[in-house]
This record gives sequence, structure tokens and C-alpha cells, in this order.
Amino acid sequence: MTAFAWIIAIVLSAFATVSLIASSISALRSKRAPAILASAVFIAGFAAAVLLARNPYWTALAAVASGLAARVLLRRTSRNSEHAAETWKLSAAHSALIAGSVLFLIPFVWLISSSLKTDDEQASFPPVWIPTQQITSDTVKNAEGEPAGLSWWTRNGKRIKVLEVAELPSGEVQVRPVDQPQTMEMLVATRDDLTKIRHVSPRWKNYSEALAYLPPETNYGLVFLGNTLFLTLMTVIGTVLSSSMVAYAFARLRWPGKKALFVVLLATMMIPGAVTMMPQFLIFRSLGWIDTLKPLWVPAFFGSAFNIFLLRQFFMSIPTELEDAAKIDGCGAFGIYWRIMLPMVKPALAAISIMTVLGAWNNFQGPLIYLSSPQKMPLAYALQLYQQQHGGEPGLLMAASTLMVLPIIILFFFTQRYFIEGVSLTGFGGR
Amino acid sequence: MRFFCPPFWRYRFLLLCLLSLIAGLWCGPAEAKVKLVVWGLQSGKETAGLDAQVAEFERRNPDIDVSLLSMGAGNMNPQKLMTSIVGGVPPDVISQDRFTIGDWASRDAFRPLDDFLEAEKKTPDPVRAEDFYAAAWKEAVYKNRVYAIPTGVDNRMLFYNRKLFRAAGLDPNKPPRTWAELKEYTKKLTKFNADGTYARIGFIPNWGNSWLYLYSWQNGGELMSPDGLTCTLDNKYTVQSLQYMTDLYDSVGGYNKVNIFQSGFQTDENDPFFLGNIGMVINGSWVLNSIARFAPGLDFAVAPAPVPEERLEGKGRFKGEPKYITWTGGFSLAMPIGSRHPNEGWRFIKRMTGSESALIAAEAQKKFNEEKGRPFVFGFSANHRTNALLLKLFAPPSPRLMQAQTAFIDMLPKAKFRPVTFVGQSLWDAHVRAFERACAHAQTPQAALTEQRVLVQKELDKAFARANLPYFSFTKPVAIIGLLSLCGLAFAGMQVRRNLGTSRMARHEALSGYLMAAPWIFGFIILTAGPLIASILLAFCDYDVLHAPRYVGWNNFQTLFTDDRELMGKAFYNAAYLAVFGIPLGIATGLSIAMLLNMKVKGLAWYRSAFYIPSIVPAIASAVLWAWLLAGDPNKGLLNALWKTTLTEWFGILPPGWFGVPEWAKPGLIVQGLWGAGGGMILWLAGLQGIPSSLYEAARIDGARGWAQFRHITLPMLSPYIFFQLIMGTIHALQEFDRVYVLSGGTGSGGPLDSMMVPVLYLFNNAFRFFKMGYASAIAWVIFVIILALTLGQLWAQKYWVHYEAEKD
Repeated sequence: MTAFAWIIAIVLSAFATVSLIASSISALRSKRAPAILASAVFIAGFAAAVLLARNPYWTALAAVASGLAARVLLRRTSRNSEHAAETWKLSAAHSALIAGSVLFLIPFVWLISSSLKTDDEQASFPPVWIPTQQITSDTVKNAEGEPAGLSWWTRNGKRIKVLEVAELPSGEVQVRPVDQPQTMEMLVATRDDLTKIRHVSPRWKNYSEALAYLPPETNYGLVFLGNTLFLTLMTVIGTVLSSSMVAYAFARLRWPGKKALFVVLLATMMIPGAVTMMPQFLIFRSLGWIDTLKPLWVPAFFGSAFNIFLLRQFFMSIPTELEDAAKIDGCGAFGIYWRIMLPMVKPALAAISIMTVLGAWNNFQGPLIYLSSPQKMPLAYALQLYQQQHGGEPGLLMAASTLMVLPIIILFFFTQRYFIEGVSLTGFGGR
Repeated sequence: MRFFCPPFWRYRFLLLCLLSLIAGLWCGPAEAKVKLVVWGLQSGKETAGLDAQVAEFERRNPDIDVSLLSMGAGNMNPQKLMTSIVGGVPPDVISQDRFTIGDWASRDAFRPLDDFLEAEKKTPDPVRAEDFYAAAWKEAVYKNRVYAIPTGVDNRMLFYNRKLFRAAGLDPNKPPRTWAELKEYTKKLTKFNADGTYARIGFIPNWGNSWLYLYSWQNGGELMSPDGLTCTLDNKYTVQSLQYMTDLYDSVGGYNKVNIFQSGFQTDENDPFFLGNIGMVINGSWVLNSIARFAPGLDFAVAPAPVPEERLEGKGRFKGEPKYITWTGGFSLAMPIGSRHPNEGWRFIKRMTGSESALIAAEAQKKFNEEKGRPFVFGFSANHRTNALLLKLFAPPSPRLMQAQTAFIDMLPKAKFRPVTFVGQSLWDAHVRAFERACAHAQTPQAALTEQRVLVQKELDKAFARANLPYFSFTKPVAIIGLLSLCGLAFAGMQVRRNLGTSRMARHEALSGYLMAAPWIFGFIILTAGPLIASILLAFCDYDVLHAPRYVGWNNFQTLFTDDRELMGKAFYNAAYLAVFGIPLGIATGLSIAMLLNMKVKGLAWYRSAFYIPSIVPAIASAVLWAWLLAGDPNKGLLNALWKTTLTEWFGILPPGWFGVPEWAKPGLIVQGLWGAGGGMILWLAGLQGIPSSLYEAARIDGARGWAQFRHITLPMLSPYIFFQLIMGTIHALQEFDRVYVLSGGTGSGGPLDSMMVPVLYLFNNAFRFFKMGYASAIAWVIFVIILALTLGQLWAQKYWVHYEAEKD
């Protein structure tokens, strides 16, 4: 029964929140002190009722009351009912957007928060968002030679501050009270009676440890990063150069067979990668390219049908005058392409480059098929293998994941525009 | 104008690109020292013994540098091993579980070692078969050739808790000897709680490490005929053994009830045998190490696993047979075909399987363990002389462990081993399925075993029939293709001649056109057209890359739709599930966000970034993150925490287990996919912004609001976008791979009960794990045809619902 009451209370609260926000915006706009005060009172009242009662019925009641009051206030402070409705709608949209974007960002926050947490906090319930660590002693070391941790020990109803000196094989802990460091008495506490004393402190060591766990030949993962950067760079150079050149040939030059080949080009876009996967493997095998990076980037130099198609459309839309002028000046086809046409489609090239960077950075299937030496692996594959080995250590795993995601996010902040354009242009939205 | 930068800069850039292309193709010079690459022996924090062995080998062989792969291919991924062998870049030495040697050998993927063994005879300390336990040696022999040298062995015996024996009124010095006694003791040792659940169970037939294999061998049942041609999984004696296991389960409450109890079992210090939750268990010799470390005080003893009465009495078919038997397994060192340093590799194998090296390893590991305050119990060598030495020099830390260790070593000569056959894995899987079905009373033991036997036999027959298949003849197809290409070329040439302008400029332009389109034309022929034709031909072949292809006609397709229909159907069902629920949900999410953003809200850029960023998170990182967010363990994972505070609190529904549970794996994938819906949102936003506001104004005048506006303006105007997303989404869903591979466990397993097996994963497994290139090509074409059909279907259906503005104008 309470379940449904909670659901109803949550729905009502959502409506009330929107109304409260709308009324306060409207009140602020009206610049009337009593209205602003009233809206503040409603908000405070609602918040107080929710936080103090912690009960679905009171919450629902408070939501209805404050919501209705807010609506009245909203109507009073607005010019007319239409204006009031407009304000309400906008604040509803904002509320939904804020709630939604928070929802979308939570996994991120969780990723970063997990990457900075100690193992004992990873699975604590309720979830811990801000990483903390047990406070340790500056002077006393535990049996493993590390600084001993501080805890509260509940003993006979009393709380004593103790140092955890050693973990016993029985699962119990040998402790020593902080205020009598020289005691000879052997005190043993069970884990359940100990509450670790914590302070907010991210565990940056997860990052260094995550890298230190990698095989030595990978140079703390720098080799993976190097491989990924190399692959990304080569793929982008290859794709942009070859696709734009071929696109130009299809868009602007007259040569027999162009139309037929263009139809073929469009048709190749329909062929799933699965069909050519095995024969391509056999081709690269006969070239002796297995366990090298070549199968992953050399094909980029042969152009990609989709990008050729896109760029052709762009080239087609450029007026011919510029070209004609260049021709008169004695510029050849390649010169026109390189000096005149290419600069004209720079934004499109940027967008395509960004999409290619994403594709190359994330490429997983290719490395999975072709690579086996750790020295040749790119980040995506290395991360998957890392998960296989360290799945039980979320701190390290999340640190490693963060390290792989971070460059892409940074790239996004610097080239946001091209990302957005890239999506609109290529139509590759969701995964 | 900004466009005209100094020209030299551009050419420098072009030059740079060309240089990088050349530099990328360039290979570094070879090393002087021989680098011996070894897979399967992983050096880690706990492997002091192995490290000492390798260091000593390197000290004695200064010309060799051993490289133990500690990541990736090193961790025994059969797909990686096969790819590297096929690709001609295999490791020099590989440590393999012995029961797989037959499989590798049958594919000619490993190198026979007979020539080395022959040469050994002249050395002072040869590697000789006599020094090894017969079972361990024979397990690596396929068709009379030795393919690997065994390193370690393990075997299985009955562990029993003496304290519980006393408590139940049993004599702790008289462990059960026969099956009947085992049953009787099991009943006596089992105790129930007041609510009918188990407080303790006497014995679980298949907990520990016994399986039907051991019971079957005890009863004289063999699973394969000696010539390896016939599977005899349903022979009389094996059926009896399975019947015995079923009866034993039933006598303590039934398979399902035992399984529920068993699902709470943990490992290490909480091992149920150590805690006294189970009285007896048949388990491997490796458990002694855990006992020494986690339960040094446990009052236990080991005895040979109980056998049928007839065997103990030596009657009938058991005349002259040993009273008790055990089952041995373990690892061995082998050399893949194409190993680049076979001689150095052999030196490594010889050293690692020798006594001296084993003693060095034991010494180092003992030292390491003692530093950590752990007792040291040595693992068994496959070399019986080594074991005798080890027992003398590294006596286990307590008399109880000493007794157990000795008893295990004494049993080793009487060990059986899994049949050496290339269907080893299928046989194993088949026997597990038969065991599960019989014990759960879904089938009688006879019916279950027969059904599975037929499946294994089919695979055997197919493999043997393969040798009689005709080789695939390339002449005809090559001739036809060549002829067709020639005709095509001639025709194209004629067309070109006819259409080529007469002026010098036109010819020049055409030449430039061909030159500039050349990269794609070349790439199309090499990477698309060629492979496409090859793929068609392959689909009618049996081709494992190491052997010449054989022609099988329509067999690949036939298998796909008959024997493998279940798995294949599942793969497409899963893809359809992901598409049917995932695509509309993704569209709905993206569209709702876009519509909110389109309300001319302030802070658009901020919101847009927040929603968009998740979609650019690399698929692998996203999958790794979601595997943690949606953890299988209800006590972990963020969503489980939310679930527990709401749904569990209110309705008592426990968190579902997500990727660990068949029913929830796909919903988990969909949730993970929705996180990336922000990418689609950008498209929707572009679409929404393209709708002229005059339409909405007109609608408002007509009195249409809210839903009506959405239904009659927004949706029709967006329908081309919806259509595009549907087509792309469908194509994408059918080719789903990366995240599924990661979330289903990262081994290509397909998740619990194949609930995450998708078509491309199925194809990938066949192509690059089993190297059935022909079969995989057949799968690829089925995928292709389905994609084509769906796309054409959608293209046809679009005229009924997609609204194009242009038509109206």
C-alpha cells in the first residue's frame, strides 16, 4: 500500500515542484516583495514537510497544498492565464531537462566517483558519491607495514577510538586504543563492532595502480595510447584525403563510366561488414599483416563509400565559377581540387574527421581479430582485456575506463561544433 | 580570403601524409637475441615459482630471452591462439590444458614433437615417456604422435570431514568404499533445519570435481570407442552411473533442492567443506593447498573415491582391474605449427618439464609463501621421479596433509584421462547437458545420454566425412570470374572509348578523373568486390585456413537451418528483441529530449552537451561502465541500490541480476543503449528546427493543441527522419557486436543461456574461434539477405507512412 502511496506522492511532488518553480519565476519577474516572499514560504513549506515527515501521505498532502498555492500565486503574478500557462510550461520543460540531464550524467559521475574510491566503499549501501578513506595514524604501522587505520570500537555500549593493528586469520581485528598507545593488553574486536573513521579523500592511487598492473612491455599503458593515437591519425588522414579526392572526381570531373561506378559505390554501402570480414582476413594474412596494425588503418586510404557520397554532395553544391577561373589560369584537376575545392568544404571535412576519430578510437572488432601482442593493442581492446583480468577491482577498472574516455571528452569540449555538425551531417546518432 | 594559405604549406602536408604512409608500412630491424614467446604461463604477483624457473632458464641460456605474455593472448584465449597460428605469427611455446591437445593436434595446429624426442635419446638426460605418469603422457598423444610434454598433474579423491563422521556415529577411519556405502553415509551425514532446508549435506554427487566422467569410468563405461570413430556416451555402464548419480541426488532431496543449497556456496575461507556444511566431497588435489592456507585446523582425511561393488570385489568385467581409480588432468607445454624458434622452444620445454626446474620452482614458491605467512603445499609434477623428490624435500606442513598428499600421489598411476579426440569439448558439453537433464528428471538417463550421443556422433561423422569430400576446385570459378571480368573490362573499355571526348582537354580530364578515383576503385576491387566473390565461394566450402578448402555444396546452409537452428534462431531472436524494443525506445527518448530542447529554452548548449556526451563514450568503456552499474550481485551496482530502496522496499522484488540472468540480459543491453540516445537527439533537433513554424500557427488557429499538433504536424514532418533512424537502427541491430561481446563476458560466450548471442557474435565465433571460414561465410550471407529484405521491406512500406514535403509542393 505504501508503495503506491509513494508513487503517487512522487508524481504529485514533481507537479508541485514545477508549479513552485514557475510561481517563483513569475514572482521574481513581477518584482513584488510579498509575492516573492510568498513563493519562498511555499517552497520552504513544501521542503520542510517532505524532509521532516518522510512519509508518503504527508508528502502527497504537502505537494497538493503547496502546488495549488503556487498555481494561485502564479496566476496572480502573471498578466493573464495564457502567460501563466506559458511560464508553467517553460518551467516544466526546464525541470524535465534538468532531471533528464542529471540522469544522463549520473553514470559519468559514478564512473569518476568509483575510480577514486577504495575497495571497501565500492559496494556500500546506500551508495557513496564522494570518496572517503579511513583516517590513518602517522606513527603506528599495522602488521602489513602500512599506516594503521582509525576506527570507533563499540564495546559494552561505549565508543572507543582505536587503531587497527592487525587482521587476524579468524577475520577479527587486533586493535589498540588511541589514548593508551603503550598498552600491552591484546584487544580483539569483531569487524561488525568497528566503524571506520573516514574523511573525504579521493584515492588517486587507483590510477597509478591501474597503470602499474599493466604488463611492463606496455610502458604503463603509454604503448596502448600510442597505438590508438597512431591508428586514429592514420585513419583520419587516409579517410579525409582519399575520400575527398575520389568525391571530387565523382562530383566535378567528366569521365566515362562515372555514373555506373557511382551506382556501384552506393550499392557497396549496403554490404554488411560481416560478409567481407573473412576474405579480408585471408587477404591480410597472405600479406603477413596479422598481429600488425596495418589491417586497421591501410584500408582507410582507399576511401569510404559513405564519406565519398557525402563529400560529393558538398562538392556539387559549390558554384563552378571559381573552378573555371582556375582552369583559365592553367590549373590542373588536382590543383583545383587541392587549392580551391578542398578549402571550400573544410567544415564538412572537419565533421567527417571527427566522426572518423570516434570510429578509430573506439574500434574494437578489428583489433580483436587481428592483434595478439600487448605491444600492439589499442586502448579499446586493452580495456576489454583489463576488465577480464581485473573485473573484481572496480576502482582500478573504472580508473582505466576514465583514462580511455577522457581524451574523447576533452576533444569534444574543444571541437563541440564539429561533433554536432558531424552527427547532423552523417546521420550517425545513436550507437 | 582565408582559403589561400601559402601553397608550400599544403604540399608539405601532403608530403607528410605520404611519408607517414610509408613510415607506417616500414618494419623495424630484427633483434639479435632469440626472443622466445610463450603463451599460457602468466607471470603475476603470486607466481614466484614460475618466475624463478624462467629466470634460471634464461641464466643458463644466455642466447634466449623468454617473453611470457601476461595479457591478452597470454591468457589462453583459443581464438587468439588459432588466429596467430593461422596468421603465421604464433608463439613459440604454449602451455595448454592437456585435454584440448587432441583437438589442436587434429587440426594440425600443433607441431608433433617426435623428432625432438628421437634426438633426445642421444643426450645424457633424455626426456622419456617412462618418467611420466602414463595417463599424463598419453593424453597428449594423438594418432601415435606426441604433441605436448606434460608439466603438472592433478587427480581426484574423496575428502571427508572426520569430525562430522564422529558426530554422525560413523568411524572416522572407515571412509565409504562402495557406491552403496557412499549413499548410506550421505544420508547419515545430511541434516535438515526445522524449515526443511539443509543444515548440512552429506555429499553432492557433482559438487567438487567428479562429473559423470569419473562415475562412468568407475563403472567401466568408456565414452569413446578406442579407435575414436564412435561416441559411446550412452553405453550401459555410463547409463548406470548416471542413474546412480540421479538416485543419489534424489536420496537427499532432489537435484533442484540441492542446487539451491549449493548456490550459496562460497570459496576460499568460506568453502562449505571447510565450514562443515558438506561432509564429503570428491575433489582435486589442488584443494590441499587451500586447506593448508584457509583451514589448517580442519580434521579431514582423503580416500579413493568410492566405486561400484563389483569393481571392489574384482568380479566380472573388473577382473584384473585396479580396485580404485582416479581421473587426472593438468597442463602441458606444446609448440604451435609455424613456431619460429623450435629448437630454443624445445630447450625451454625440456627444462620446464624436468625435475631440477620443478625443485627450483618449489623452493622459490615456498620462500614466497613463507614470507606471506602461508604454508606451502607443492603441486604435483607429471614426472613421477620429480614427485618423489618433492615429497622428500618439501614435506607438507602437517601429518594430515602429508597423509593426503601421499595418498594422492599413490593414486596417480591408476588414473584415467579424458579421451583424446577432437570432439573433446562437444563431448564434455554433451555430457553436462545429459547429466543436468537426467538429474532434474527432465529425461531418463538413457534418453538424455542417447540424445546427446547422437549429437556428438553427428559431429564425428561430419569430421570423418570431411576427409572424403572433394577438394574445392578453383579452376572453374576462377575461369568464369576471369572470363566475366575480361568481358566486363572489354565492354567498359569500349564504352570508355566511345564516350571519351575527342578533345585533348576532355581526354586529360578523364585521365585525371580515373587517377583521382583510383584509390576507391582499387580499394573496391581488393577490399569489397574480391572479398564478396570469395565470400560466396567460401560459403560452399569447408575451409579452416590450415588445410586446402573442400567443396561441401549447400551443406553449410543446411547445417545452419537444421543442426544449428536452435542457436542460429536464438541469435536472430536476440537481435530482433534488441531491435523491436531498443529502436523505438531510443527514438522516443531522443525525440522527447529534442522536443524539450526545441521549446526555445535557455541554456540549450549546456543541456545538449549533457545529453550528447554519453553517446560519444567509447562503446567498450560504456559497456565496462554499465557492467558495473548493472552489476549481477544485488549488493553492488548503482541501479541495484536504487532498485533496493524502491522496488524491493515496496514490492519485495529483488534486483534482477542483469547480465548474469537470461531474462534480464537484453533489457540491460537496452538500458545501456538508451544512454547513448543523445546522439539521435541531435538529429531530431535538426529535424524539428526544419519544421516551418507557420504550420504550427495555422494549426493553432484551427484549434489544434498539444497532442493534436504533435500527431498531425510534428510526426508527419519528422517521418523521413524516423524512417532513416528505423533503417539505420535495424541494420545496426543486426550487426551488433562490440558491447555485446564485452557484456556477455568477453570470451564470445553469448552470456547466460546464450541470451546475448547475436548474429555477428555467432559468426565471429565460427570464423575466428573455430576457424570454420566456410560456415561463417554462410552465416554472413544469411545476415546480408535478412538485412537486405528488411531494408527493402521498409523502403516499400515507407510510402504508406513517410511524408515527404517535396511531394506536396
